[in-house]
Amino acid sequence: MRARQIKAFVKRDLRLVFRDKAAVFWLIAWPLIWVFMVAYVFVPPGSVTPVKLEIGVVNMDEGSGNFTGRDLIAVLENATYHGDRLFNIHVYNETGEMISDIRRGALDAGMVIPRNFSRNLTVGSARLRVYIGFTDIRSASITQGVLRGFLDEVSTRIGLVKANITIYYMQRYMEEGGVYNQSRGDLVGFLRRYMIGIAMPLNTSYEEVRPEAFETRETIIGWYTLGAIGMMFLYTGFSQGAAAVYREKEAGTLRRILASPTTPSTLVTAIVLSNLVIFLITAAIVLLAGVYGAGARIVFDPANPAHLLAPILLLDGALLSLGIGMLLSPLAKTSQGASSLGIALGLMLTFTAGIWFPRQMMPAWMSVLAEYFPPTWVFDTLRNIMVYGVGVGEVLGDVAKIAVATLIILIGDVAVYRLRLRRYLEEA
Amino acid sequence: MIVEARDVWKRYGGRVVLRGVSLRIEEPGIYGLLGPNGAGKTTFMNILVGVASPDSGEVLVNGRPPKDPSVRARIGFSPQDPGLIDQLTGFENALFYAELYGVDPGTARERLIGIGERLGLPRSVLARRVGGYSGGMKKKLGVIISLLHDPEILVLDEPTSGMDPGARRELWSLLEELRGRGKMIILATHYMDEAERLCDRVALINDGAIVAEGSPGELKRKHGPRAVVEVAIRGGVDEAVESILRGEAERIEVLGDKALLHVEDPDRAVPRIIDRLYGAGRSVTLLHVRYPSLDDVFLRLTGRRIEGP
Repeated sequence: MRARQIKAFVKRDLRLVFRDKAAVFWLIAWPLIWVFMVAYVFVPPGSVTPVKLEIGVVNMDEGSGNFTGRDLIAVLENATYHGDRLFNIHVYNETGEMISDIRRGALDAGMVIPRNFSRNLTVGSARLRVYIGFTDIRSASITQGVLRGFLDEVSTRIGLVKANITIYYMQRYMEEGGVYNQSRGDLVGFLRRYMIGIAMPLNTSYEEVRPEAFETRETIIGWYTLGAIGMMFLYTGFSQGAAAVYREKEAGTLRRILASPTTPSTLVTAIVLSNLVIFLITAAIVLLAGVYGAGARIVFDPANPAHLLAPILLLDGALLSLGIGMLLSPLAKTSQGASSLGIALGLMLTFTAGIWFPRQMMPAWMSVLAEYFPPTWVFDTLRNIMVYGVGVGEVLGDVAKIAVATLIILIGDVAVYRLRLRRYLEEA
Repeated sequence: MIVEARDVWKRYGGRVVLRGVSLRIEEPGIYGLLGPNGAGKTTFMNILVGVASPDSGEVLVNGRPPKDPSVRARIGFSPQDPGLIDQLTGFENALFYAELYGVDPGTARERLIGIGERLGLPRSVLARRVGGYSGGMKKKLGVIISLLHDPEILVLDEPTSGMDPGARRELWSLLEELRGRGKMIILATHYMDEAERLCDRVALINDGAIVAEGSPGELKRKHGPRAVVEVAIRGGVDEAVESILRGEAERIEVLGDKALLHVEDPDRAVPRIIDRLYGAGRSVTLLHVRYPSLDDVFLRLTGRRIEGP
């Protein structure tokens, strides 16, 4: 019976939503407008937004080989992408001082070039220690990706130079009768070290290197496609959650529904479920349009355990928005008032809590809101999984945090609705 | 089925809406709640169908409170506001509610078409969105919806208000038919003709309290005058006319150029009324003797009319 009653509400509400032009506009057209604005106006095809990283370097190398620590710093300083410098280099004397600047967010990453860097690079393999600033998964992923790509490329090129030199000298010595002033055993050991050095001189990269996690046009559109869904969830969820029962009351349907065998808890469950179905349908439409119409990079691989969390997170985002909306309902007296309050608050939080604008773009005081706003946790985690390819281990903490927040909000909703339903009927 | 209310009190804000209402309905038939607007009929019905709770006292249906969903499943309720959604068709509205009662959509559709045809809402109208319906059409659909799950008890709050006379008569005949099939119908109305034609028993409600209860005949015999003489006088009813008539009737009510006189013996009273009026130089343009209505009973018990002046 309960399932049948809930099904009746879902059918009714789907009909109502898709017959209401204004609802279709706000649920589907409005988020799509923003996705396509990002894809074709703000980040048109052929354009990218390069990232400039603040990199600290401690150079302890005192060698004078073919490629020294100073040469590496010069390469870093001159690295460009489409004419834009990739790195701002800050040279430090002490590692501790540099790490402290990374901790307080002044640097994206730091690099320590060790004492025998140039010597080891010439005769074997040189170590390079890189510290990544982990302010959040997204920034860390970008920084690490850019640096790794850059240093890998540097390594490859050094290896190539060393291989050419080796071939040159081997050829020369062979031609001159194998003149070499070391014993045969030393020669084998030297060649072994040298060859390993050719294969892995350094873990580095160079020039036009853009790893997967770099901000490509596709990942930017992917980020904003999920942002558009978040925006829609927020203003619609807040508005629907706050106004749903008022609408039933004002339409005169509430009295009739509660005179039927429908219990108040079934009514609230039905309202939530019918909205969740509507949200998931519209989210799927926006996702498909974002991927196939705007070229967003949003990956869903059912074989990846992290990706299996994505639908659950999407559902959670919808539930959180509706739940917060329901908590708002006592603040209004009519469905119009509740709906306006929900839309206004939803849009305000969309733009200030990291749903639409990346929190990295916001001033520090404003980004605090994003830190404590559960729907932002949902969409940040979704982006990390579906856009940046973060593994399940890195998001489990966030998922647990989101689950706890959802539970707390739903308990609050039950308490509010128990009181409100009685009051709605007394007023009806 | 037994519906019982025991000393039901209800307040909204500081206003007392029900004052110790008690009643017991045991037999199938049509039970009327008759009273003017604001008397407390709708509040009592809301409590009866489990939508509202009494502040004190209790309402029981077969010994169980109507808050129990299994009790509500046996009641069909048609509120004053039919509770229809304008963006949905008549079919969609009705089938939505039928599903809340667990009625199979095919059965509900069949019943809807059958009763709809009878009350003047044919299939073609039911297929249209309710936003285009008149008030009367909405009211009819509201009543039909309350019948779709074939309830044992039917609670109807002002079911015919806004309906055209033809549809009213058709609904009355439908309710009489349902009574014949053993249903219990509780009907709130402020229409005298409706209550007198349909109701087997009537409770007169005034200001939140039941002032009298019984069959319409009993109530009229017990509380009403023997006859009502309606007199229209050229020039209207002024103080002089009132003082002439006061001695001939136990109660006088003035309605425009007419006076209604409650009399015990019309055969003796009528000639004297005419003599005295003509003797005072006032001419009578209409004189009509009728048996008392429930409205007259209500007037006698409460000093006010049900349908307003």
